[in-house]
This record gives sequence, structure tokens and C-alpha cells, in this order.
Amino acid sequence: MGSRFPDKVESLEDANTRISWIGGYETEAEVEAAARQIVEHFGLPSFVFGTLFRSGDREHYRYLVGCVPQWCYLYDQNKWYAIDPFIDYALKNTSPVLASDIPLSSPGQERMMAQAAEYGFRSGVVVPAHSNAAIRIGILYLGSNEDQQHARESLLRHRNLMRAFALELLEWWDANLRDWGLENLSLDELDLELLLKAKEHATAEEAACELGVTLSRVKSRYERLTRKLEVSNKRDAVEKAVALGLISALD
Amino acid sequence: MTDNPKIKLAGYPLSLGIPLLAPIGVWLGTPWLAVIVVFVLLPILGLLVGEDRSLPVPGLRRSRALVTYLDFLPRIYALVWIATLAWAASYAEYADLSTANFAGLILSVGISSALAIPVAHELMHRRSQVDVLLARVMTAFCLYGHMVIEHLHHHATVGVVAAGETAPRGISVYRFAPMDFLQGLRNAWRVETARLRRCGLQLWRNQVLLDYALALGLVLLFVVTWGINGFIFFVGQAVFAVFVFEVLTYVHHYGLVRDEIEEPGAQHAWAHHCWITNCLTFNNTFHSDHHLRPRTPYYELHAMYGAPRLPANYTTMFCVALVPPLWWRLMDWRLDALAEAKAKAGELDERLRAQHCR
Repeated sequence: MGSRFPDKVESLEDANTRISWIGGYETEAEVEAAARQIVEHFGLPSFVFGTLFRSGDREHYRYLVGCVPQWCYLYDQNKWYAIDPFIDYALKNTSPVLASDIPLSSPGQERMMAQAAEYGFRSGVVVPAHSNAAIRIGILYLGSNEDQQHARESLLRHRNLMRAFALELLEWWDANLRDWGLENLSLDELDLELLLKAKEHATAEEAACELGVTLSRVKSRYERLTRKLEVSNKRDAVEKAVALGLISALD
Repeated sequence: MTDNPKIKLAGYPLSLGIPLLAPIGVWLGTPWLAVIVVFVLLPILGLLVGEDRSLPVPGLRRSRALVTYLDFLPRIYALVWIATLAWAASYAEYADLSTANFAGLILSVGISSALAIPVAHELMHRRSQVDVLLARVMTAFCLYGHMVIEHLHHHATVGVVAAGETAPRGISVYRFAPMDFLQGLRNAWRVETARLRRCGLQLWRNQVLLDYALALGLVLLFVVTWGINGFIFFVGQAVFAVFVFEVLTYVHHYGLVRDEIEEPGAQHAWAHHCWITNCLTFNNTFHSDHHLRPRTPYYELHAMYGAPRLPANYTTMFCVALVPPLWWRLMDWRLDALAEAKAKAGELDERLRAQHCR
């Protein structure tokens, strides 16, 4: 597949084409390879794309990494996601912004930023991306070892493309979350149909009659679903299934 | 031959011949041909060919061509059957048929319509919305607009007498058929209205209503295009098809009542493994397996251990069911044997079944 693309993104048109192709990739490796070329074009060669989804009181993160792996290890070990100022910004805003424009409010955040600077994020841009489910967002961090002026110029020049890039990544992630969830949680089509029925507020009996399975089977499936999704009831199971992309918020 | 799964794959297209029996009969000057073939020749042929001892072809799904062929057969049946309906309505209107020949034509086409309902049943269980839509159109041609919704309800309530579809012991098919039709309509209506209320949808989204509206549209189409004879033909074939289907439902589930705590199993449907009937009905005779695996395509269904056996094939048992005293004489002692086996072992005892149910 890669042979159908130039090795380097050299123009705005190339970058645009490359971004629009993200939705068609099947593997994370393909997306990562394309993303590396795109961020090179932005002049911000390090990137991390994170998705955050909230389920009840819990938050789940997944990352696509295009930077020094040690940085992600450090980030995870120090649980910096709990104090990350960019996540807080992305939760409340939609505009791309210079990382340096986001105020730091604690010594922990300052330590985090000092470490980031050593691993390819001396200057950078934060691009929020919001999905159709309010409980799931994406955050694209673009960084370089150049000074702030460099990041500012890149943001001015590529602002719209950066947004498009972050949204395409989030959409790709959403589409693949379902398969990931189905595989990791060992769910089948009946589980999904039952989740959709629960989302419609169907009783177990109604779900049984509409799906053509017995009531006892429906009940045991719901029990299994709440166990697998690590929630305590059907409503939370639906909420988490939407968050995980197993069922759509719009269905 | 009957243990070779590959020959069975070649046998399924035989079903396409059933709708063609009506025009062939007319061509031969015998509009009753289909009735004679299905109710006289087929039982004899079934005995000669013997029981279906085949299992599904191993690894069948690896062959895309084979799966496509098998998936397409019910769709092709639908098209051939609908074309036959149009031809027969036209023939009824323009040919000067005697009353007996007109009745023969209605019943001959009605047989293919009766077979169309199990074919629609196969399609309605598929994931493809196109197939489900085709199934709904097919049931509308049979004026059986609640069949798709009701059938899913049936899977949830197999063996529950109050839910319909399972005839309690001692009831005749003539009492059961209209009762079950109305009960099915009530079930489907209840399921659909609950869904609409829950989802905040308006009445016109009710699938039962939509399917009956389609059926009404088809009736009007036949009246406008082929006049009063087209109307009589259309309603006649549909009533006959639904009646045959209700009789087969009676045959499938007669007396096999499920306790509330009991899970549905192979023991809740009568099965028969006549090779010819299996091919013609797309394995609808493997009904016990279908109850347990409703989404499984027809070509992967097989005979189940523990399923009670009918003494003869579908068409023969259909005729027997029409004579209630004969039916009760043949079936009630089998129910006794099953109850006895269940009481003794808690489940079907294979030796007792072999002794009493063959």
C-alpha cells in the first residue's frame, strides 16, 4: 500500500491527500507511518495522539506514538495524564493552540513540561478533536526541539490541516475501537444487539422477543456483559459500550 | 447418496422446481400437477431416496463461491416464485378456466407460496437488511405481514403454549391454525408497539402495519392488473399458503411443551430427516437445530441428537394432521413415550426413543 504514496509529503496537496487517506488504513503501523510523514511536513516531527474516554468515574486512554518511546514510558509511570494541562484544555476547547499558551498551574505540570522538552517537545502545538460521543475526545500533541517561534509559524501555516489531521486520526480510532473492543472483550453480535436494546431502554423480556432469544439467555448475557465491561448495571454497560465505540451514540 | 454432503448441495436447487410445477402443469393440461407431485409422488420418492444422513460440508465457509451459490438460492427462489405468481394471475384472468382448473391453479401456486414462507424464514434470520426486506416482501405476498416479527417472538417463547405456535396435546389443527394466526398477530403487535413507544417512534413505523400495508398494496395491484380473477387467485394462494404454514407449525411443535425453568432444546421440535424434503425446504426440517442456532444458515444445520422424530416426512404428516383422529392416534403415544423418558431420566432417553419413536 505504501508504494502508492510518495516517500515524502512535499506540498499542501500531498499533506491533504495523505490525511484524507487515513480512514482507509487497516493497521496502526500504517497510520503511524503516514502520520510521521504528515508531521514532518508541519515541521513538528514528534507527535503523540491520545484518545481519552470517560466511563462513570473512570477514564481510559489510548495512544498512537510518534516520538521517543521513553517519553511515553515516563508519562505513564508518573501518571502525568492525571495532571496533564493539555487534556484539561482539550476537554473544554476545540481550537488548536500553542502548548506554551496553556498556563501551567502546579509544580507537577512544570516538571512534566521540563521532561517533555528533553524528549522532543521543547515547543509544540495542541490540537483537540471531539467525537460524536461527548465522553470521548482526541488530543494531538505536535512537538519539536526548535524554539516557540518555530511552533507558532507552523501553527499559523498549517492550522486547518492540523485540525483535519487530528479529526481523521480520531475517526480512524473510533472505527477501530469497535474491533479492538470486540476482540479484547470477546463479545459477539448478540452482545452488541443486546447493548443496543438496553440503550433503547428495552426490558430483558422485550429484548428477548425482538431478538428471538430466550429470556434466560438474555439475562445471563447481560450479567456476562456487565462483568466483562466491569460495570455494575445495564445502564453503565451501555455508557461504557458507547465510550468504547462498541455501539454508536447515535444508533 | 444421502450421506454425501456434496450431493446435498446439488439437491437444494430442486426447490426451484416447485414454483415451476404450476406452469408446467398448465402446459401439460393438468393444473393440479403440483398437488399430485407434492402430496403423492414426493412421499413415495422420499421413501425411495431415504433419510438424509449427511452432515454439513466441512470448511464450507472457506469457499466463497459455494457460500455465494447457497446464499443466493433462497433469493432466486423468491424471484422465480414472484414471477410465477404474476404469470398465474395473468393466466387466471385471460384463460377461460373451469372452476376445478382454477382451484387447481390456486392450490398449485399456493404450494409454492407455502414453501415461500420457510424460504422467507431463512432470509429473515440473515444479517443483511436486503434479505430481511425480501423476506418481508415475500410474507406480504402471502398476506402474512406479522410473520417476521412474530417469528422472533417465537424463538423467545419456544414451547410456551400461551405464546402460541406450540399446539397443546389434543387440539386439532383446525382449531389451532386460526387461533395461532391471531395469537401471532397479537404477539407481533405487542412487540412492535412496545418498541415504538420505547424508541419514541410514530405509528407508521410499525413493521406489522407496514407489512400489511404492503400486502394490501399487492392485493390492489393484482385487482387493478388482473381483475376479479387476479384478486381471487391472489387471496386464494395466500390463504392456502398461510394455512399450510400453520399446519406445519402444528406438526413441528405439537405437544412439546416447555416448563418455565427449562431451556429450549432439541426436544422442543419434531424433526424428520427425509432427504428430498430437506432439500426442498432448505433444511427447515432440521427445526430443532434451528431453534438452538437461529442465525445459522440452512446449509449448516443438521440433525440433532435428542430431537423427537416424526413418523413420516412433512408432506405425509401434513396430510395426517388434516385428519385429527389419525393424527392423535399416531402422535399422542409418542408424546407419552417422551414424557415417560423425561420423567425417568430427566432428559430424552435414547434407548426409549429408539424403541417408541421410530
